[in-house]
Amino acid sequence: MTDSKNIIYINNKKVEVTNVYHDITLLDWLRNYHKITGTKEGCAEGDCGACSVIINKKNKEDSKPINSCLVRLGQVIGSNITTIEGLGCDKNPHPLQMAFSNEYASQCGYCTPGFIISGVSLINSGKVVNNDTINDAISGNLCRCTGYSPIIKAIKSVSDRKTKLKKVEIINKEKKVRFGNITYLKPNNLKELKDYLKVKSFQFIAGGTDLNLQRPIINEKENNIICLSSIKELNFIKKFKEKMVLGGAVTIENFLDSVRSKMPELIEILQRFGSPQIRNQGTIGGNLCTSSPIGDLAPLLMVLNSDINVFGKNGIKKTNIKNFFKGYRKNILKKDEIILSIEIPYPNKKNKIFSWKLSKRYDQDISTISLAINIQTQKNIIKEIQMAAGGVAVTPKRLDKLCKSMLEKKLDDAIDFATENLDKFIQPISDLRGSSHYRLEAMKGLFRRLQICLRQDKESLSIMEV
Amino acid sequence: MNNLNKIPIHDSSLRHSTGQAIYIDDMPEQENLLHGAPVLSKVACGKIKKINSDKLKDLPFFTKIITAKDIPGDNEIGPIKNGEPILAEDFFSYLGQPVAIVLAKTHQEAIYASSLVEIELEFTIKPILNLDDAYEQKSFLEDPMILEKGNIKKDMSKSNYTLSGDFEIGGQDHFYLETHVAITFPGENDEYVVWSSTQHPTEVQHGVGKVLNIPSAKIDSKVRRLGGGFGGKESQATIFAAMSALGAYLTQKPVKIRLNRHIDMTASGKRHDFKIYYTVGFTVTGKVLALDIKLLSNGGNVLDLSGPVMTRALTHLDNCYFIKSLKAIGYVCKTNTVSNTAFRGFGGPQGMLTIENILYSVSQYLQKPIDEIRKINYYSRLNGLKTPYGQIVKNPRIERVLKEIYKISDYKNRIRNIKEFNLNQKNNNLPFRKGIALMPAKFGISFNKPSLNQGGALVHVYSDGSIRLNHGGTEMGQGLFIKVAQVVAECFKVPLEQIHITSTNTAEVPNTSATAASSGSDLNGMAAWNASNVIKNRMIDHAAKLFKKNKKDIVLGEGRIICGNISLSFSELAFSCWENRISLSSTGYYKTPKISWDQGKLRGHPYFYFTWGAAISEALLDINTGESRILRADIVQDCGNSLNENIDIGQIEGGFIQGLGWLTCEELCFSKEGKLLTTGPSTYKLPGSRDIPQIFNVKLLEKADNEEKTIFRSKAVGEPPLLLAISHFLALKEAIRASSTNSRPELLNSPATPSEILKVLKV
Repeated sequence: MTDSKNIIYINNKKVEVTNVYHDITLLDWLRNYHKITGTKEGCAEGDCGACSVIINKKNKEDSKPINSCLVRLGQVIGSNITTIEGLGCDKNPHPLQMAFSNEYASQCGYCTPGFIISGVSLINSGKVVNNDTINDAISGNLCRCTGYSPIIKAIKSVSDRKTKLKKVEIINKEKKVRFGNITYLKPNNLKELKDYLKVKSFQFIAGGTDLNLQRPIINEKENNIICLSSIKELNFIKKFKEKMVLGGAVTIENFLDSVRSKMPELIEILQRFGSPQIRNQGTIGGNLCTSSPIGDLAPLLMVLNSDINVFGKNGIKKTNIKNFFKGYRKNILKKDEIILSIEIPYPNKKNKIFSWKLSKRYDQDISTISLAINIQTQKNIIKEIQMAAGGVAVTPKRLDKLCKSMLEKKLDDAIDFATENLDKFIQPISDLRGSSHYRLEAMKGLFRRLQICLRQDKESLSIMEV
Repeated sequence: MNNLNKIPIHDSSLRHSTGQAIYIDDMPEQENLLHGAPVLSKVACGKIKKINSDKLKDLPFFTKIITAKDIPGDNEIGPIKNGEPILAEDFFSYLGQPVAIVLAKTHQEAIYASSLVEIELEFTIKPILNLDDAYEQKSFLEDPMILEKGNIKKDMSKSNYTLSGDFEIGGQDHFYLETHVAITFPGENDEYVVWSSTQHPTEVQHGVGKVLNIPSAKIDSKVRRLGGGFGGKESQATIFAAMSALGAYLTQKPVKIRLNRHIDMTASGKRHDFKIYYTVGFTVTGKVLALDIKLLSNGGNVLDLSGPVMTRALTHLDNCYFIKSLKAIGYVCKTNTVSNTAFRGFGGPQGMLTIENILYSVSQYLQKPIDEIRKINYYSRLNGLKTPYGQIVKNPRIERVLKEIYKISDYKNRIRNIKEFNLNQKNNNLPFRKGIALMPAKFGISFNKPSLNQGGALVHVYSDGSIRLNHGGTEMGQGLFIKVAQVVAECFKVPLEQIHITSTNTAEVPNTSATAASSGSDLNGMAAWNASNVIKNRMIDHAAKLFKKNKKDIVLGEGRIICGNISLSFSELAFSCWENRISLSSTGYYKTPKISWDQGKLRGHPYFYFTWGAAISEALLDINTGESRILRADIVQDCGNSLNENIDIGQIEGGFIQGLGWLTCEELCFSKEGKLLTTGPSTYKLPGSRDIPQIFNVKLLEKADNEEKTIFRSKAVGEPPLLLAISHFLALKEAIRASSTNSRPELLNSPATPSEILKVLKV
């Protein structure tokens, strides 16, 4: 049972959360408890976008699309949720709803509300609306009928029709909510967090885009979920002279926005990280803590020599990211420790940074392999090199031994050496994303790409740019 | 045909956009509704000892388990052959096969509870998981189909060259955005109303009747719209509808079955994967004289629609080419994977990819462009017009289509530019290669089984002049409802808004065929036309009496009935008809003429007509990484005299992109135990918006009235565009060929994932 004070706003209307007996998703609550059915379930794993809604967590202009299938109700108490119904109806449609209709942008119509949520979010964001930004805005939405052309056309046709979403005064500040056997604890600062750590059993959650997929849909045992998102000490971005420091709960989308000026090398890999819906929910700390062997951020942060500040019972300790991962989805964090912040030194101006990801699909896909490189050459001799790869071992892996043998060699010789001896340094496995053979051959391909980039002074060599 | 000079938009488009369009899972729920979730097998092949549901007893909420023993009628759901149970009884034949259903008050509780049911096994057997193993063990679902023409032995020996090879064509998940869903409402006197997301309401009605042992007349099967079908809800929807009906029968409460994505992908059929072995004989110029070919298709654990899928593959092997001697044997293999089913194209794409792959290999062997090889093999009066199955290709439109596509695509210049691009890349040690290729296509329209080619409609005109339209077709996004409404509006010459579109319902139009085989508007459009005409004629008769004029002098136009200088509005006439006791309701019926088929001999005239089309695609490849994308596509498609050009263009664009997915990024992966590993969009990648060609020109063939008498001389459009994506697959082969002389494009299997591409690239 929940206590009656729990409030969520749906389309600016205050709704008390009552009679919820399980730890359900926001999507489930909207559809099945309130029969607000314009929001659809397509996959329930955050990859199709049919369940997209706009969330506003604060009383600020901070409306962003998220996947309502990936957040549990306990995470969004006190938020204002805008669903497709909140944008308009057939008697009084939103300009984009009208445009979709006129441009034949829906066929079966099941994905349509989700696309409109993404489209409206883009138009309202104030970003330039062009093919590229549209593709990025809808990279988390799948349509099986139209082939996308009319959808892109519809969004473009109303690109100047920014609409203001109504703001509501959010009053709910509950720090403890309970659904079924799950209690959500929401500390606002580290001091409160320390108190909460005294409960018997608990799990941390940041965005939950990964964890919520792993958690059971019904918990038969009691558990506490400690939400890290609203801890103020985890929500900051500071740009120093030598480095950038980001709180562990900074979302990937905010990370992306913050690197545009100082570290443009990071843009591509961050833009290909999930989708806007995922990036608005997922956090840097969360991504590192899942410690997946293919985490897209890790290789790049590794070659930039980033440090991780860990907060725990005994205070704060700093560790280099190369020492952070311990095994398949394992890291050095103890049960009651969290990532406080990440320190990313700006790369040496003489160095070149590359970060490449290979996947079956360009957007919203998990990499088969990825490779990040931080390199300096002088007169064609490698003077400095750091490489790290994803998808080639049980953890993201620094290729230190290989780098060592490439150092002080001529570029061409070093690349030849790397491609000829690669299997001595990595032994990737075969899985559904690619065979072991592919991973090795493609990695060699990336080394050849590096060679061309350095020789011909190219920033990247992506098929998307041809 | 443009009603009132405007091309109508999809009837539901605004409600799609506002979230007001109601799908099955959006329907209001009764307080006592129960949700069901299937319990799935964890082994691919084994004998069941016991279903253990003890753990359900400890749950703090209501559950009820249903097994095959609870079925009052037959545990049979096969659309063609018996032996296809809805719930496994004593034996599992694929991993993921439903064996029980758990009911609970919420979907979440049902899913959770279903995971607690344990199946004890007596023994397991090593499963058959691939086509070669099945073939070797003679594990087939039916007798091999043999399509034979000419004298293969003679023509093979007359050939200058022979070439043998093999390749694989991967399967494809439908990935309709709306997963399988059904609700059954029990009524009095054994009546059941079943709402399900189905392309075939009549088969749902039959299936439910068989499972519950209740006559069809007591079962109403309905659907307003599907959130995508693509063939995946032709026969498969019946399985899940029958599960919900079984639950409703046993509890006498409404029961909903809605599969989550993982269960949907695990436990419902997909496009058949094929393996092809061939020997082709040809002359020095590349004229194909003889083709000896073996097609293995993966039927899965039971037959379902695999027979007709193989038939369509065999009858589309010729594509646009006259093949003098042919021997094609189709083996529908029985494996321990989920039973494969209909998917847009229904075997046609696999057959056509087969011949295109073979012609590509011939062109490579002869070091000639594939277009030259094609040119001397096309159906023509000179080469011959008789298909291997005996039907004559009357008036092939391939030349017209090609002329048009060459024009809009600037093909010749681009071939030259691409050669230059590739040379430039090579000389500068850069990794990109381009390829460009054509795909010509002929596609046969009609269900191969003649009895399926019938349609029905029911039209009511009310005394206020409004018109209610119902027909046997289902709306799954393809725009069928608006097209048929246009036909009715055109018949009565009233504004389209006057036509009210209603849910498909076996109580209104009985004994319907599946909305499949691209036939929806051909069958239902004509049936609705016939129904409307009956009413229209009665109304005109009455008007003639009223006006005291000759029937011939009466015309309909812009919502009025006119005779010289006197006229009535349509609604005034409707009211007058009612007052004078004239029936304003009629059924309409249509059966496709001219068709015949001998399934045993694979001979006859199975297709009422052919549609024609062509696409030219330009592919880009990174030879370092195997990444690729499509840069440009041009398409010309023959839609006859299109009923709705914009809807048709939507079908073409969407079908083409779906075909691209099938051939490039959509890969079904199974574990060695037979477990499908790609059960959601995080691992199964369909095309996203960045995967479409930046330049995408789609054109309908102009002045292309159907030579056969179809509704307004239009042509079907649903399936044919999908296989035009083969142009991109061939363009990729061209790009691979351009990478180095050591590369082996002929070995490229589908889907052409980066991994697959790198396998055949030798740089």
